[in-house]
Amino acid sequence: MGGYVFLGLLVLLGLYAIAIYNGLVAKKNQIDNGFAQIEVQLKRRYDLIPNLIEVAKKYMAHERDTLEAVIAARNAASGALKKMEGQLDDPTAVTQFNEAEQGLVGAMGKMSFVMEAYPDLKANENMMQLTEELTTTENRIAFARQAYNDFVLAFNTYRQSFPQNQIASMFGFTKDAKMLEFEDSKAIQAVPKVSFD
Amino acid sequence: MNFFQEQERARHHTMWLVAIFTLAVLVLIVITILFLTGLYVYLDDIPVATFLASPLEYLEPKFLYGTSVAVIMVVAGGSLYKYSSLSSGGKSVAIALGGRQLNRNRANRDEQKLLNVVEEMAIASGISTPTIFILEEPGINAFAAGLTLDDAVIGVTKGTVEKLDREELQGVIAHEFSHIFNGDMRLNLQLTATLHGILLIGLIGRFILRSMSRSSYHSRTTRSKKDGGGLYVLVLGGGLMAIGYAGTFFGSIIKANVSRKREYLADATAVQYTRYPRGISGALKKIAYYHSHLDSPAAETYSHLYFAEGVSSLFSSLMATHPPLKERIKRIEPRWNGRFPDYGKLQGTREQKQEPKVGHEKEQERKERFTQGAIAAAMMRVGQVKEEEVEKVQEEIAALDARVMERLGDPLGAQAVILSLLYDEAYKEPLYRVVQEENPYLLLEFVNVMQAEYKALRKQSTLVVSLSMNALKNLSVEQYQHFKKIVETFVTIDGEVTLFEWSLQYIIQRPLEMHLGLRKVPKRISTHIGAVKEEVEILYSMLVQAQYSDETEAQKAFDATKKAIHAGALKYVPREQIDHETFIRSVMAVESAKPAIAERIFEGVLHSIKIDGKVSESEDAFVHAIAQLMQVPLPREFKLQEV
Repeated sequence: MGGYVFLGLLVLLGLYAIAIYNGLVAKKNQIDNGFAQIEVQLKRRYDLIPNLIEVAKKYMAHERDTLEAVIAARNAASGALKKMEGQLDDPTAVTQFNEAEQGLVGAMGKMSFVMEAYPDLKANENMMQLTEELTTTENRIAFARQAYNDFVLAFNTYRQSFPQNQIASMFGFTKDAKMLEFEDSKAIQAVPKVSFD
Repeated sequence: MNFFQEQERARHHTMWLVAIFTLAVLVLIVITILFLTGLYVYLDDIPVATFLASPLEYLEPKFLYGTSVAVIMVVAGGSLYKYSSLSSGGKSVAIALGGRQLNRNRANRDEQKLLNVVEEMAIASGISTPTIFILEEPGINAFAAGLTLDDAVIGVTKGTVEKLDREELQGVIAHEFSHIFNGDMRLNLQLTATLHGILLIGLIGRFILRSMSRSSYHSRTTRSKKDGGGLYVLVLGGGLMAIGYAGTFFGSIIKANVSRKREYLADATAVQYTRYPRGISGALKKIAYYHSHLDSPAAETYSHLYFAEGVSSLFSSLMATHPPLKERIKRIEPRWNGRFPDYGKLQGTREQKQEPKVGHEKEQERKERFTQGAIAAAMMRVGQVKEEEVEKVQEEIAALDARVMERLGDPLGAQAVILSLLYDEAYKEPLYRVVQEENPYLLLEFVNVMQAEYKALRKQSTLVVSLSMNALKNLSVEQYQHFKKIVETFVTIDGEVTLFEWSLQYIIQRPLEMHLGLRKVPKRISTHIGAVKEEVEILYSMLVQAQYSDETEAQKAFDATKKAIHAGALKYVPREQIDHETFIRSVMAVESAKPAIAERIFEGVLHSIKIDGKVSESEDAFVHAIAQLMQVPLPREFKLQEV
């Protein structure tokens, strides 16, 4: 009889392991989906920035350096994003991207600071529309990133808890997923003003 | 058969499945006992003649009992496990097959087309938009999976969206929707779970064999043991594998038989839904030209869920889960000449083909369409989706502002648009504050939506909610909790919950919570209307009161409703006896009604809502909420009557 009990336990254990595997896959899947959500908005922003610079150039001829710095930062971030695609579990790629994104945010912040001195530019119809679109996109990036980090946290917590931590690496889930930690752009932090009267 | 009868039938099929399953387990036990006895006889060198002379001597009760318990334990364990993993709904199937969730804001053109087709059909048939998954496979295939209407997913391969035109795609999607409405979807998942238990024996056998080959390698290198025990285990593993695969073999035959019949039905229903046989037959012809195979390692397990054969089998006529393509095409298009067009050559002339046809040809086609429709209608009397309904939905979607559509494709934008439906100008400050506190990113989006002042959006509330579902399904659980809190504040800020507010909140929360795993599929327990009598009374009374402020008028309307559904025993409940809590309790009780009485209750709801001759936006929202709650696809003609 002992043999049967043992067999029964073995089966249950096996089933439990499969359940853990499925849980890991499902959570990993969410991370990938979450990343795709950020990616689509990031790409949209990388597309918007050159247009913005084109318009700004006409007004800010003397600020060539600032504008070129934005373009360079944009290209770096765009390149880092491409590199990170499909290697979300590679911490160096993620770190590189975080840094590049940080650089872009810095360059953009500097540009909007300089822009304050050009009221004509700020009043330009095209510019206003582009800024508006950019702000919306950045908001969406930030929101999607929040979701992404939630998914990462859920995955990591699950992977590290007992008994998953004993067998997760056996299934090839050897590493924690890494959060995306670039800072929100300045534009977002300037929350729109709503008057309550 | 109408929808409700189909659902009941699917449930009866479940009973039948249980019977087959029990039989299969018995057979498995017998085979296992025979096998183990044979093994024992062989290993102990008992002469076969001695054994055959008195076989019972060797079959000790303890051995028989133990083996039976072991087999039952393994099979039941396997099935139960699969049941529990499938209870999270269709999503788990899509993920197992390597699906990628599709959203409007990251979809390419072909994928947009798919999104549109699915959403239109979901709205036209009045169910919550299914989650859509793309499988990265070149073959042309699709599937629908799920336990209820809420957790239904539709998976489509990349090959399908790339190679089919809109009409063909519509045919395929209509076919999948018919699986959803016919109750096949649920049956299919149960079939999967059941077979998994039987398959498990084979898997264990394989596991033993594999670990044996590893450990025998070890023992050879370290020390050699006597081989008797090892051989015993080896033969045991091999035997279990053989038994398991024999079980799976018969299981597959059962699976194929159940599946094949349902496919013809789904084809016929699809023709009826789209009224355009060329769509689905074109898709089938393209499958014949290209192929419908799936490469995913999990493909075999779900082979009975697909649009067309996804895995080829050895004994194709016995184990094919789908009827032959030619046969299927012939049934849809009886005058088909049996030749498949060469799509490789046709590619260039595709645009020409789409030009409007003129004169005789057009007349011919219309005639054909008409007779096809009639045939299909005769084959199948379900009618949840109609071509004109889909067209109406297309018009309604086209009438929406393009910027609203763009917002609905994004999780943040969709939240903002939905909040604008519930916004109350009188409470501007606290409402903006709660948005800012719960989700600062949402504030800007919300301000933009409010400033744009989209006209008449509120009239389209249910449409907006349906279109926002795919985007909202990307929220993390934490983000959803914040959104839920904001919605709740918007609903309750003025101290009362209107019918409109409750309904809208319900049709937003229910599918999302199912998707996020925060809400379980409810069990349906009530089998006759008497069990939920009081609750139904409250529901109907409240509905007529919403339309007539005068108490006697309301009572008259109530009596008319009760007559319409032949439930004379129902008593009117006066206004002052109904509060929000009793209403919520009634609604929850009604949710547990089985399909047969759900039909009657729902009929009464429709009747009482139409009683004053018009359908307001809050009534529209309420019918949608009740339809979701009772798992009923909303009859679209109900919407069509509204002016």
